[in-house]
Amino acid sequence: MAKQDAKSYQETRQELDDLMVWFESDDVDLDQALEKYEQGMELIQQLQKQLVQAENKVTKLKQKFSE
Amino acid sequence: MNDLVFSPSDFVAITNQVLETAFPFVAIEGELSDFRVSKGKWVYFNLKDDAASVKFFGSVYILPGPLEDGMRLKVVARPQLHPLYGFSLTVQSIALSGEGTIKKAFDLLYSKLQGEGLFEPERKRTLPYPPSRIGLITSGESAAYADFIKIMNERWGGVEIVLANTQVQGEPAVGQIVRAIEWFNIQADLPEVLVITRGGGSLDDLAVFNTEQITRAIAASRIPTLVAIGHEVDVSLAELAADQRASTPSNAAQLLVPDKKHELFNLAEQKKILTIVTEEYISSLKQHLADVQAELNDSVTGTLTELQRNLQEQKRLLALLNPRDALRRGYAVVRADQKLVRSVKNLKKGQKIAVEFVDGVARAEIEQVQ
Repeated sequence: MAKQDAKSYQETRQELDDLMVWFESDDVDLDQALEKYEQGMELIQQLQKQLVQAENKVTKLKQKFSE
Repeated sequence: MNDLVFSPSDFVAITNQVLETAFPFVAIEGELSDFRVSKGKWVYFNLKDDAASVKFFGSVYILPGPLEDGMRLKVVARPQLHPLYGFSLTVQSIALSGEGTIKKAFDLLYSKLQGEGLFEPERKRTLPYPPSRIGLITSGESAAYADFIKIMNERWGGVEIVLANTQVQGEPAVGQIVRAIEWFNIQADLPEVLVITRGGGSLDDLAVFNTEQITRAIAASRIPTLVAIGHEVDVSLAELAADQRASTPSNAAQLLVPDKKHELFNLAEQKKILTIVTEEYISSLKQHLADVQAELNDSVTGTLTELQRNLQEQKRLLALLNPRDALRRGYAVVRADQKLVRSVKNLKKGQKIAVEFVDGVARAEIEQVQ
């Protein structure tokens, strides 16, 4: 998404999907579960912000393609 | 009557001058005959009607696709008198004319390119979804361009769109679109997808997208392609060669990027799911702890019961061996000098012994040992 963001929307989205998968694992760790929850909420907020704020950028080439 | 006498060379030169002044270019429409390609480089053919036939000559690069005798063509050419081979027309451009010919040419080119595998489903690449950088080839002044950008902006953000402004109809469009495709393909920073689009038009207008040049350029693109030509009835060869096709410029934008309204809804759902999943995780942890505790209890109780059972058994065995029970049944124990006497061999006449009964001890003296 927006240029200033280090990660693209898709990368952040993937991170969220991976995080959701962790909850299906057999790991038994309450601290980690709470940490994942916090991280997930933060990622969602970040994604929502990106969606609302990002704009497309159109560049018109000066180049002419006539011979 | 006429005093003017030319040498053959002069005559050729002056005729060409006159021709060039009168017809720098001439457009002739007629039926194709005697079409042939020489050395894969040059084409020779005639255009004829009922009464006349004219010769043409040109390079294979100006061919719109495979041609066949009987097709109707509109050819723009330069008339010329060749010093050795006589009169001919040098071809500048060839346009197919009439629905029958256009259809025939389409079929011929379709078979040829299909034979080469240009339309094979295995060649189709998946477009990145959503792409971060798009190369857009269309007319910057067209409604198609405006529609595409409008829908893109409505649906998604953060996409960089680079526009190559080209004509999208008429003969110059072919070269321009091919050059634009090639230009994008040699950039260091390649766009993730190439979108080639225009709005609907007549069959003639769309002819550009049925040319061999554009179809091949699309098939050869390293960058995945999405072609959207806004017409419903026929599919163009350009679309068949593309990795993906869309029905209209707006439809192209819809296929390229998700709708942020849906995505925002999905994220809100995801938020709920994350909360539920975390709660479930914690309650499953609690359950797990309870299970472990119960298991531990069970196992401790089990061990204790087993130990108790063993103890009872030992006790019972021990009771059987208690000598007091034997005394109670009427047996007696003989001791001499505090020691248990197990055999008469250990006794002799006159020896003092103690006889232990269950209720007391009697003292005696041995009279005889047998």
